[in-house]
Amino acid sequence: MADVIRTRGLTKTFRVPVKNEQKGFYRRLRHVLVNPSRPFTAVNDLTFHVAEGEILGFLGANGSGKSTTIKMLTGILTPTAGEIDVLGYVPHRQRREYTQHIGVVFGQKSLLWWNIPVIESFKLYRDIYDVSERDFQERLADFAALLEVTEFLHVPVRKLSLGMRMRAEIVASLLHRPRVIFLDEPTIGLDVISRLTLKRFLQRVNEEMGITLFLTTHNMFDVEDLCRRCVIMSRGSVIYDGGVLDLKASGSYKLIELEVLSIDNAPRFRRLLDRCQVLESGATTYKLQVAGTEAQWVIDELFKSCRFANLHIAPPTLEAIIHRIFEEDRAQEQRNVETVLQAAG
Amino acid sequence: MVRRLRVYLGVLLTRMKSAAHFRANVIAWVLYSPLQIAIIYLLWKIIYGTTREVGGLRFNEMILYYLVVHFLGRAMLPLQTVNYEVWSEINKGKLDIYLARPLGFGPFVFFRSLGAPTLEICLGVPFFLLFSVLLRLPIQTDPLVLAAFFLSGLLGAVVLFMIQFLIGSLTFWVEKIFGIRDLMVSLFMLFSGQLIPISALPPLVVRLSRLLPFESIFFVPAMIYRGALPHLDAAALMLQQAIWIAVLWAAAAAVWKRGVARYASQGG
Amino acid sequence: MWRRSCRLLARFALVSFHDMSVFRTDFVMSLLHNLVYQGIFLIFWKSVLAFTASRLGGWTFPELAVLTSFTLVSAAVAQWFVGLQQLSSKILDGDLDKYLCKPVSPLLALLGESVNALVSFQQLVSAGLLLTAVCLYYRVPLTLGGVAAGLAILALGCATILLIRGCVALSAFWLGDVSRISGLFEISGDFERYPINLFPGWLQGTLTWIVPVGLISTWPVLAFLGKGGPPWAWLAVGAALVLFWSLLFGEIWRRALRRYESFGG
Repeated sequence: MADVIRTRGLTKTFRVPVKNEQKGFYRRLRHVLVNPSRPFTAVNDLTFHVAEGEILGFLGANGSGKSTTIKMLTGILTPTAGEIDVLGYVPHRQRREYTQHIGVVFGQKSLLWWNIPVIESFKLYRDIYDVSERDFQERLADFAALLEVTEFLHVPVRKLSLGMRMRAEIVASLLHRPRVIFLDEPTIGLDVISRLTLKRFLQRVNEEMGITLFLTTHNMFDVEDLCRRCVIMSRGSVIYDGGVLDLKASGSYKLIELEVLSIDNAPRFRRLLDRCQVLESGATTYKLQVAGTEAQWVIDELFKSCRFANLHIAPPTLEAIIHRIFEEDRAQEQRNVETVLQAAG
Repeated sequence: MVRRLRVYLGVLLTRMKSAAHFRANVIAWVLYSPLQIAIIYLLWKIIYGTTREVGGLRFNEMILYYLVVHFLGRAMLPLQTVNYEVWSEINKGKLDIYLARPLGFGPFVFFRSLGAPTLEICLGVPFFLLFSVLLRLPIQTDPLVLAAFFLSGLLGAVVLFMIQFLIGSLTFWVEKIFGIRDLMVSLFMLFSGQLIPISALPPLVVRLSRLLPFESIFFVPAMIYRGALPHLDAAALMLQQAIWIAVLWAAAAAVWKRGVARYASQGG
Repeated sequence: MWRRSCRLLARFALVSFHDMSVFRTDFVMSLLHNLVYQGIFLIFWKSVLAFTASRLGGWTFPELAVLTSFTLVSAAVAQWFVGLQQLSSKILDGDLDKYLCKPVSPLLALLGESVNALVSFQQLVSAGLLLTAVCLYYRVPLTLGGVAAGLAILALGCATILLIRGCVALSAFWLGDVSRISGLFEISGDFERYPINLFPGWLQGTLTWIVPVGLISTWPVLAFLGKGGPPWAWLAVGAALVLFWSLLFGEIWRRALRRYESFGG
């Protein structure tokens, strides 16, 4: 399958204004006039690719650079360095032609017009993307029925609930039959049922129309249900790029939740705890993470050292796995900082 | 009763203390007012080039009139949004808070809206005096006249408030009151004496303005400040203002009662 | 490209007719309000002229009435460019993004979405009614050339003022809060109602070259009425100002975009 999105060494550096903490009137004045700023690298040397027909999940915490990445891919921001190729175009340089072939949905910002009925927004989209009237009516009928937006086509957007609005936004982004759709946190703030409907629809869009989906999210369940591949970003760099199933498999440890009735052998219990990672601990409850190989030993020791009311052993959730990846990354960063400090001091 | 008054006064003072308001207010006086008054001055200089008096006022008296109206207008500007506040609270169903408590909504809004005007007056007086000196206008020093002026100004503010409140109350029946409100603003400009002293208007319009409460807001206080009115006439005008307040109050109370009943019956 | 831009603008204009905002009042009410509001100013002039022997420095009542009506026309034109004043706040709110990822000119779209075609139409109709009534009743002599020249000067004047407003609004990116400056502009708009050719020379110059209020009121009205000599001078002044301010605006817009880019919005 041909690559639809390809980036190499993609970098984006912003200039962040330095806070004015000057003492003295003239220093403050000079600060205001000069307006000093320092560079901030939001995306650092990003290299990845997306094949046609794929659904790629871009995971990361706030500030990890995923929004900046999607903005560069959609032509909103110009990269500072690196190569970027989507559908054979360089987004920020060929914006007019390029954007004809993509759809964009922002979860946190509405792309529809607030005070007017949904159908009027759709008509505006039709004119922006130069869709023929016949195609417009056809696609409107199809998608609207599929996503069940027909019932509120004539309601102004400001009166819609979030779930309804997101459905309308997705329909709007499909009217010109894009080859790729970029979704920035599309399920944020949605209730469980709306989220499910949306995801099911996106799946159908991908399967039946072969549209490539690129979505950013910090909801693991979105990734789990929808994506076969995912990229995890942290502080501007990629820390994981691979299949979702592989990611789940890499979590070769177990989660043990227990509620303790009485501790018969305290030192043994403590030794046990030392061998695990204690995720949570309450008065009588514990949540432990233990390597797959050690799990059997830990459970044996548990039986020998205490009596418990509840014991639950589970494979790690994707969330936990990803959480651990972030932890490891943060630890790595900490080690880097210490090395630098040691070298300097 | 006394305790309630104290609550109301507290609300007033809180509104006054906003620092941002203070700064914006001073800037407006320093930047905008000179320009507005200059435009008036230049225009009337041209008009008085061909005549000696307009509506019984000489050039100096006319400029003084406009300065007083400008000052009163600035002081009462915050009151002009009362209709929107009332509309907003009714529309958003926030009325429930007030209806469930022994706090009168009307008095509450009134005292709340007095905060900003009080600040405007405190800041405006020195600027008013400054402009009077710069434009070589006579400054009123008769304490009786000044007292009457401030009282008359206060009465005028209450009249304005009542009108605003009445329009806001229409929200109970009409969702979009802004058409009526805009119409009222136009009529207000003419009949309050803000555009031109009422004494200068054509006789038919003057007769019409007698039947309306608007002249109580700007024209009456401005005329009192001028100090050329015999005491009896001034007192009569202030009585007229008071009567208008009573009439509007009765109307507002009646409208409000009917409106709240309708509001409650529709579930808010 | 032009055809598509025009079609998009037309669509935005149509959308403003469908605007279901709660502050929209119905057509007749708005018409009535416009007429009453301008009527108030007509009463003002009637009152003043009663004391000055029906003339003010060469202006008769019907001519002052035409001047008053022209304020409606310039307001109607301004409704199409309301977006210019809101540009910087829209950009700061991130409204630019939604157009940058679409095949449209972001400037055109940002302006287009604020177009208030319905209000403009209402004001135009009101102005038309007023002008027709005044000109017919007082038998004001008009020529086609005069009318055309007057409207042309008005258009150039409106364009200039709106471009100035746009430049001031965009400069907020570097200067911070510019509401004071725009406030001053608003107030100088009061000059629109008065015949500035009666004011002292220095003021006339200021109101023509620096804050071109004269170009949307007195000068086009004089051309419209066929008074004050041939309109070439004013047309030239208007054209020069439009050229200057549009070049400046283009430059500021480009820089604003660059700044938006580098500071990440």
